[in-house]
Amino acid sequence: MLQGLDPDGDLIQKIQQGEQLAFNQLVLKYRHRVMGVAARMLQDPIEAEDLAQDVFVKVYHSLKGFKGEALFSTWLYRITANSCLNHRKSRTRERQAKKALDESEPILFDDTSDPHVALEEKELKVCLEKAIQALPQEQRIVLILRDIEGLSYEGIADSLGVELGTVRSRLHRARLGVQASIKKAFSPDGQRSEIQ
Amino acid sequence: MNCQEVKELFSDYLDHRLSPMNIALIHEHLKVCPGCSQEVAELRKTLSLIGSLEEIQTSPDFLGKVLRKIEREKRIRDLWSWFFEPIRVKVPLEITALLLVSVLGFYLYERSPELSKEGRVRLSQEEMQMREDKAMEEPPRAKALERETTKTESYATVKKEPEATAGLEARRLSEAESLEAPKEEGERGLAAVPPVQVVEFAAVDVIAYERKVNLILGELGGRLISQERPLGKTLVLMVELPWSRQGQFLAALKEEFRSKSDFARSPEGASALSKENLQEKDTPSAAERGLDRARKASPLLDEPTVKLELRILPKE
Repeated sequence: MLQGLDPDGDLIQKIQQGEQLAFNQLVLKYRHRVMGVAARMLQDPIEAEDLAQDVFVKVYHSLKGFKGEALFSTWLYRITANSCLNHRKSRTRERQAKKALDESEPILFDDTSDPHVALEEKELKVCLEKAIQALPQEQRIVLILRDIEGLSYEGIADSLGVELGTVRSRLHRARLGVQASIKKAFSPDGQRSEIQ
Repeated sequence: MNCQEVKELFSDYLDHRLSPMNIALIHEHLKVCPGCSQEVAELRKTLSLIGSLEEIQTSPDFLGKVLRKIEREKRIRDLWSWFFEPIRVKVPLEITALLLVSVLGFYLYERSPELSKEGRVRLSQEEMQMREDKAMEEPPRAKALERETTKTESYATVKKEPEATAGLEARRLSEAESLEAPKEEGERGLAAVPPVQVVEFAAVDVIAYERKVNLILGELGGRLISQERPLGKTLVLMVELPWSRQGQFLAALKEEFRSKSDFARSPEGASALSKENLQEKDTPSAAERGLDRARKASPLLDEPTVKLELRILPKE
């Protein structure tokens, strides 16, 4: 049992004892992380938020059976990743999302915070999001969990139910794929060959 | 290590997952390979950029939406639980109840005369007996029902000769006015043909007795529906008259045929009858006027009627 080492162990215990407020705290703590994974996997913010809500509903109903054999965060990412991979969206919405991705800035990326951010950096981030969304699903989820959410290789293997070697190879290919996309975007004519 | 082997280890190298020995080997290679050095630097930068991507936020009411979804699901689960749990107890009970209701509904449907098609047409033997007992005294309660009644025992016992029946069927035109048309092949005999009683008489002069029958019919408010001589000598008359007069009619016929039969045997009677026949043929007689009146009479509007099939057989 890892519940003693789990930073969320106390919250989990309270929830299992029926404390509604503890569950609310858990949702507020992890909502953005779950949303981040869902949004980058589904490429549709509306569906992503809906899926993120469903993830927490599943957590609410399944928490009674959570025995603390893994960290809560790992367990949560497992539910999120499986929900994303099993999610089926309508073909119309998929075509629309793909069209928006190709023609304009990514739907998800909304950099309206700082007007002083260098245009180049902004363009780079837009390009980066597009590159991630262009990856195959199996590579994309590994990249998101490792390089954005910060999960360990073992945690990713546990969440996705795959071997460690599978995680390594998918992650490596995903990173090279993103790198190639960025290189291509910023030096289409071969003038700029490195990322600054 | 060659470039290919080193490149395969870049991700592990950047994530600090390599053993010290492998790290040293990579460092050695990078010192002498500018291409791999540049690639690992670019990959390091890419990972840094990916890690710097902004957090994607949820809507402000995210928690509220989650809690509402949970509440909605809870209601559905409670309903399911109320209906079906425990499954081993409730499901068999509910299936049994459903079966009982279905059987009861079917039973009531079959038993109800208004609803059941068979109920309309099927008469119990007791009801049939009751009808026969009351036939001579008063019109049956369900005369209208009898018009719609299909097969009955009395109808089933009528002596039929195929040619006679076919001939009579062809000439029964006025019957159709008060009867429902037969529906299907199987129901033709059942749908709307009222029961017909067959009465047979033997007579010396068949034609003369036809006229007598018409006279009696006219007096009792009946009418001649059709007449046929399917077998040459036998005369078949289909008559209709009020229920209440049936007894009188049959009694009058019996009396008429008995007396005429006895009278016809004597030589005087035979002669008188032949003259009577000639006279009746030449002039419009009371018999013919009675025939005309009988045909025109329509007692149907006043009271229930009965149909009789009279077979006047020639007496040898």
